[in-house]
Amino acid sequence: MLTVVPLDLLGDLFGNVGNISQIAFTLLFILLFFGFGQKLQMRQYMWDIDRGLRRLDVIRGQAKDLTLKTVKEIGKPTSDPMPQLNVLMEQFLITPVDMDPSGIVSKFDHLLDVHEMKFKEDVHRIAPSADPAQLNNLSNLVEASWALNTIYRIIRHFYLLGKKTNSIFIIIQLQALLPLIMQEAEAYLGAARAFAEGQPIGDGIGPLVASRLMKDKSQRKVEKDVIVAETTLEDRRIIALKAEGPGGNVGKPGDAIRSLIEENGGKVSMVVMIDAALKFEGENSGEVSEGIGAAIGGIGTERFKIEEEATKNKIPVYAVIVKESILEAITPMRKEILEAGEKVLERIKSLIVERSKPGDTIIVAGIGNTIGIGQ
Amino acid sequence: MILYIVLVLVGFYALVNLVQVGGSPISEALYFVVATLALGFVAFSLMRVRRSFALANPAPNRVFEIVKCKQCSFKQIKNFALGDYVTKTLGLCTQCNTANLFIDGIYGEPPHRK
Repeated sequence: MLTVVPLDLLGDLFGNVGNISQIAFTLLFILLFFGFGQKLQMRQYMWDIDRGLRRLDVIRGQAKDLTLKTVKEIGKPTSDPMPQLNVLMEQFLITPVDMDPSGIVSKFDHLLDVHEMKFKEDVHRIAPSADPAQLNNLSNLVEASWALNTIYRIIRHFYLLGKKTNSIFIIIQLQALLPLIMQEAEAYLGAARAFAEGQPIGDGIGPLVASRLMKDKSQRKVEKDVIVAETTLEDRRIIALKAEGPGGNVGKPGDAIRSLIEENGGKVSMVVMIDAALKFEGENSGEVSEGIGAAIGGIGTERFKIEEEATKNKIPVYAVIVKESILEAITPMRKEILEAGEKVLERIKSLIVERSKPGDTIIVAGIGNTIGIGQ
Repeated sequence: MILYIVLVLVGFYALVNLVQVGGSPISEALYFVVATLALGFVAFSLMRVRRSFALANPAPNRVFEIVKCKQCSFKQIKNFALGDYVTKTLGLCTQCNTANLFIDGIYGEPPHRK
């Protein structure tokens, strides 16, 4: 019966040549699936990567067009900013040698400072009319475009390398990672739109909570791009700090916390850090959790400074985090994350009541990008 | 592309045979299977291409502002305007007539994907 079925079909489809076709098809089948099975699979993976690469190219093109349009609108450049923008898109940072890791944090810190300063100066050159807040937003926008350009270049590199060397292992790894890479690329495009319009992003929940504590209080600037205000909460003296907004900025909270501890002669009973944290799949966005340690992302230099100063003065560091996905962290702040701000304030209050005495001095640091959030 | 054209031709050929020629029940069933598989595969691939284009151009978020008054209970939700930011003062409150309006929060709603 099993042999009759293909004969019937092939006979119906191709008439008298059915039998010959059956032999040819059987041979072709054996040849294709046993001889070229892996090649066929690789070809299929490469189609997927090729399609992904085209999408990445479209996304990076959209981000670049948006950057150019925003630079022209806000910065009012006198000449065409495209050549300088292309130079910015290809910028890189050479990390310090880590064979002898002693002192590497200060080296990193210095490099990052120089990189940021140069980046902002370059952006200012192509957007001379932008005010400081707009300049920060434009820098963030150019960085998002740079990230998309870099993702595209890396994926294209490995795709072409896999194609050139016929290495199925490079292709399989690339194909397996592609959905996550596409998700990240989409997030960056969303971030570019938010940066172009100066809208608060999910990562800004820390500065948002800090700004609520600072509301209507006298403010001063400490260290680079960090604003501090004093308030009272449950009879404790609260020193709230955040990056200076509303331009896109993360400031240097590590330096600020260090200088505030020094200012108070080490008499700080605790440091509470509020930040956005990546959630696991299945967790709800806007969920609030608390823990121990310095809640701050980035390369690690700021966290190092906070940990060092806290250890030196035996100050406990507590973290209150708001869970969100990578997409939510860099695209306009979702309602559930905004609403989590109130829950964070409640958590801080209970943490303070449980872990300190009335009259104590407490530093509350809102960590994250303060775009679209003033103080 | 050639594969898709061949599959469409095979699918239509099987479909035409199924409708017009017919044959034994086994042949009809096989024509049906061939037509469904060939045309189904093409349709699925086209849907994937469509989806990939939709992903490449995600719609922007709709962004709103929560405006509140420091003095009274006035609260308003309006569309985000360029240049606005959280804590920005906006002027006179229509309810209590004091210059205490400010932006309390800004949030975005994700686009609805079809």
